[in-house]
Amino acid sequence: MAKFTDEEMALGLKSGTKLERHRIFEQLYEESLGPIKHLILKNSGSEEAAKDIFQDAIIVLNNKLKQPDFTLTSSIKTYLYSVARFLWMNQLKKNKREAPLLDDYQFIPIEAKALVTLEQDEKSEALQGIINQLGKDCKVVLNAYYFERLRMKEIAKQMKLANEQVARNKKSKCLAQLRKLAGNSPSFQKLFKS
Amino acid sequence: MEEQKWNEIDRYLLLEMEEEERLTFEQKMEKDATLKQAVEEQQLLIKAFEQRGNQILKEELEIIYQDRKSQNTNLSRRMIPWTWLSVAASILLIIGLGYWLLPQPANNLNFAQHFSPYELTALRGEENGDYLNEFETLYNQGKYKEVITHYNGNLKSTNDDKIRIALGVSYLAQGLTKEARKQFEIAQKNPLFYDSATWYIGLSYLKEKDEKSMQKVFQELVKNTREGNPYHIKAAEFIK
Repeated sequence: MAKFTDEEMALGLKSGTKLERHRIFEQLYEESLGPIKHLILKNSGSEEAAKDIFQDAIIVLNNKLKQPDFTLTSSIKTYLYSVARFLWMNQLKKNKREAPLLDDYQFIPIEAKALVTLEQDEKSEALQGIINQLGKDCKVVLNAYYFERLRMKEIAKQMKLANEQVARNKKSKCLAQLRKLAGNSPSFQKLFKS
Repeated sequence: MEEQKWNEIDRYLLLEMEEEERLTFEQKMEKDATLKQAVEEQQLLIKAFEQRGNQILKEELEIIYQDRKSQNTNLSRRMIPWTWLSVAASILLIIGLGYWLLPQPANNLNFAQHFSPYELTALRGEENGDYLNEFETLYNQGKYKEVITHYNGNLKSTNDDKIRIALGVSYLAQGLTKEARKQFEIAQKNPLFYDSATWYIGLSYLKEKDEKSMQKVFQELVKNTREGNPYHIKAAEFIK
């Protein structure tokens, strides 16, 4: 099986099938985990920490690729390394271990915007409990729109709906339902007003 | 009207507005406190979907990692006896006992030589927590007959492909190849479990000594996986 090029991987992560994305993740493990593991093990990290940071870097890449204003200016391997290094530096800082990083690839710039996409938010977490109360179809359509950032046409195709308009109506209906659930949840309201 | 308002907010938050439109929207928001609050609410909702999606993706990446790790371990475990065998063979040659006179190693069509159970860890479920724990314990103890009974009694309604693989492996270990294949063929449709499910389907044919079907399955597995993939390596050993 031939390897994906960077261009194919970027496109596949944005709009590929589940199987294509799965194969891309496998290739990323094969090609990009090594240098990141090396960096983290050299800088007081464990194999488990390296795996976690690597997975977070993939999540950052995955989310960035969906943003219309994002352009990948380096290879995917370099980008992942630069994100992982930033995340690990941040982790060391949190653990109050700010010694200079031993890094074989210092010439690779630091990707400092990486944290934004991984930040946890207490209110959003509470909202997730409410999302789980939605029916399966609603979860699928809203996830496809807000997380996968698919167009209505693609959502209609994926969910086997008659056309784009049906998908749009479904999204609006599900969104209204979600707002109603959030409005009726005293614990969420309390958190939101705080 | 209401729908139009939310669509506009979505376009703003998902960065789909052109510069001019964005600035106009921001000015409107400054003057309209209700609109500003609606934007904040919607931003929270998008963030919630992002966090949820990130979590699902992280779980998917973890499964791939664990699968690769467990298969690499199995591969290296299987390599050890052969390494020792080659050392022994060399010694035999050196001391001139005529290694060439010895029978050839057992052929590849030996089920027990290739079968190792799928590594099952961290089964989670909100409703069936205790049953899942028991399933995992029985499976990891190799009590396959009990695994099958326990599944049929308590977990039949679950729709988890990881459990399906473990159940299929339990059937396979009991020699119930057709039952095993039923489970693997369902799990095979899930890309996360395609590789392992296809591998075990191949093994079920090996168990039946149906070499033709086994070859077909392993050829498909090799075609659909990349070279470094542990299942690819194992399946390639069978292809003539």
